[in-house]
Amino acid sequence: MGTTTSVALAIMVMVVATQVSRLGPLMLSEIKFSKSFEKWLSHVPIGILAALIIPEFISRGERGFEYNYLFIVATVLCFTLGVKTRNLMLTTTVGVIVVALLRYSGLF
Amino acid sequence: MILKTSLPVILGYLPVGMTFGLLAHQEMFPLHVAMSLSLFVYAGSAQFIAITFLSHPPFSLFQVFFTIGLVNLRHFMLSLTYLPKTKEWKWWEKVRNFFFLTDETFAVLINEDQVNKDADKSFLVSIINFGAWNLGTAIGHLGGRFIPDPKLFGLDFALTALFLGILALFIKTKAHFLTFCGSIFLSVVFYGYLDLGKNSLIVAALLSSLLGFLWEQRRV
Repeated sequence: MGTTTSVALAIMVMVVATQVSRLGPLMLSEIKFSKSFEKWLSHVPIGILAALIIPEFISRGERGFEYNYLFIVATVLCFTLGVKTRNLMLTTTVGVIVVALLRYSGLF
Repeated sequence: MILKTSLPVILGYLPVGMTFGLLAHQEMFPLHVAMSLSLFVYAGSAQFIAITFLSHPPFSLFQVFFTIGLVNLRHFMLSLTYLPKTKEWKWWEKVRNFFFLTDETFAVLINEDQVNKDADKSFLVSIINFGAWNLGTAIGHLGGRFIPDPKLFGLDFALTALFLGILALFIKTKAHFLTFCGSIFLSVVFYGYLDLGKNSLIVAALLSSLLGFLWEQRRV
């Protein structure tokens, strides 16, 4: 983790970043946003969450980068399960167990 | 009535809050940092993203603001949708209540007009949900110290698995799935092949969200 000051600052920045969206609309109650804007917004968290898992799959070495195949296999399984069950706890738990099992299977 | 409205959220927030506490512990966050995130930021997916930032210093505050702000931008629509229900409330009641308006709280409140006409009742629902989330965080963090080596159990995959679970919940259409695939592809190119660093992930995220959105528009 970072230093105490940088973490405290980051948390404050996060509070502002969150509340801009939650409290912002109170100031402009009359403005109507288009359906398109709303549609685009539903794509944004997907793009961000998908992008943020990528550093977990790629490790940088001296000669370019390497894929973490264990995590890639687990991700495919985990994501499929998530879409099928839409159960957050189940998906997370199974994902963790799959990684543990694959690690000791000697395949990776 | 209030407890009945909150119950589904409590059942969801306790275990997910515990997961957050556990992951925070695993990344060596002290209890007060984990609790500060749950108490002050109080935004599910954004808090998990916060773990990835804070555990990989140095991070730029701009990057933190931009990422968290974008992920939470959808709350803008939630607040805007809930606003007409609160016409009778005083301004400070609105500020007090909207501060706690998460996806799940919004979801249970939006159709409960009996609750919504009374600002205090709506606030009570919000606060109970908030309490469940924070209780979960504390239990998860304190429970974390009984798990010796996270790697031993595949727990180093937990955050990714959780992101995938959240993603699965967000993905409701083919266009959403296109955004998902596009973001993975662009991120691998930007971050992996071109080595453009973490900021390029946000660019990949924005481009792919536009791609999915435009594809969706083209079809209607």
